[in-house]
Amino acid sequence: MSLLSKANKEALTSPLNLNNPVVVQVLGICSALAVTAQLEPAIVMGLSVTIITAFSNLIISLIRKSIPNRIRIIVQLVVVAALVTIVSQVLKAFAYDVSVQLSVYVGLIITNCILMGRLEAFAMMNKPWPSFLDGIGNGIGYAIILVIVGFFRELLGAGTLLGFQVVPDWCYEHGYVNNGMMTMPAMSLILVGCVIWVHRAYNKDLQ
Amino acid sequence: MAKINTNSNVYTIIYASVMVIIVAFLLAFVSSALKPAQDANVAIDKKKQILAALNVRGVQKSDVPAKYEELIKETTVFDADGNVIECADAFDVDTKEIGEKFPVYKAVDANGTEVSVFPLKGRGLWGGLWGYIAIDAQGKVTGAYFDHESETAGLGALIKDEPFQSQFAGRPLFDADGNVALTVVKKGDAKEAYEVDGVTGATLTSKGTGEMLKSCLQAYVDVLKKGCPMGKAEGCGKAEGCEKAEKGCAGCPNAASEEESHKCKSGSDCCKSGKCDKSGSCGKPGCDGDKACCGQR
Repeated sequence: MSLLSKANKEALTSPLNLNNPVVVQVLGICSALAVTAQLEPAIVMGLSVTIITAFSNLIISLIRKSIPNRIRIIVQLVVVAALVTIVSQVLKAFAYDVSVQLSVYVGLIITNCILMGRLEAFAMMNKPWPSFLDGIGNGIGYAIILVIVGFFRELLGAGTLLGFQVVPDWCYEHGYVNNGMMTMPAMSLILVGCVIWVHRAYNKDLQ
Repeated sequence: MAKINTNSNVYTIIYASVMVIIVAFLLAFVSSALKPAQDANVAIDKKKQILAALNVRGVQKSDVPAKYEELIKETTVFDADGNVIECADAFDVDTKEIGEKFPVYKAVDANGTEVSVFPLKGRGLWGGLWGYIAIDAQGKVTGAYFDHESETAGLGALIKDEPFQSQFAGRPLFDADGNVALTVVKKGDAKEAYEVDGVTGATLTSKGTGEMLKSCLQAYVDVLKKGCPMGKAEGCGKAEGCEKAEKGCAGCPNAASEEESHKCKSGSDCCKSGKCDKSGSCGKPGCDGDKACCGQR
């Protein structure tokens, strides 16, 4: 069996587009609202979720045959929570600045429904390697949407990208005003709606 | 091998117990193995924040301790009655303890001005706020640093950034009547020099910051009045207008002679009764400069 057989490739790439966790499975919406006011936290959150989904998928898939069916959700939750805690402790010891930025998201990662959704739907009935790829694919699929929403919210809401001003001063001098609505969580819901709209328009079979 | 029934009650209970024990050991091991490295990072971060209040920003992580030693001249901790707490280093006072203990750092800022740095503690919208504010002998702010536990990213969290903090430099601490007045107001409403523009869209965080400044600085002023006003005492027992002048200065309160007392830069230096001993700067009470004892407590 090759490392990237057809089925494995499918596990990795389908969440990027046709089976995207946010716009098709509609998972992880709450954190998509919370951290997308600026681009940087959106990228950081997307990366962290990718790493945690991949490794929790891997671990759950390794022990999937031994997990008692009735307490499987609890087992999944314990694995995810332990993983997130260990990662945040390691970061705090070796990359303190990153951990300070991430501390707000640790709780959000544990409760992210993409994690539990993928563990239940994929890792519980697939081998470790495809599960790992599925985790990476879903994490990146989630990150893409976050980055798109974060990009527009920061650009239109604050006139900056990653903290650097991109809207030139003369625009403001000629009466351009930042859209304060963009910094509110409600706007990200509308933006996610727009992304879903565009996505469906291009993928007729999803309609 | 006989197949185990993974749905039996016994299996489920044993599975859960073993899992919990393994995870508990794992977390305990990780936590204790990484504790020293984490504590060192927290200490460096705190020093970095104090340096930011002295307008020294962007220092490399490895250079922070040396820069801190260079700029911080002495530290004193006062109790609520204005007495100097012996053998205490202001740096060891946790943010939570502010209000019972009053740590003060005497330092030189980036421009060479002699300032006193006061740690602050308050509440924002979602969680705690803290900060450091540097004030010179004329009662003017020279620099400020604020940080937060969990304010909204992109809005309240902006108090952590330089554009907000740099507004404070040059502001007076007192109003014309001599009351503590420095505060934060809604952007555009600032009229007096002691009113600083808040962050747009973060009304409650701005309010919390203003409240923190006013109440904490008022508390410091009250405490220092009871003891010995910082900057007025030339030596032990010489300050004017203090209720407890002899205890208010940051030398060695129980020194045998005045000369001996002046050798001490901070309360932490005088662990040995009446003698200045820098080896005792662990700040633990009763250690008398004994390093081994410091480690045990």
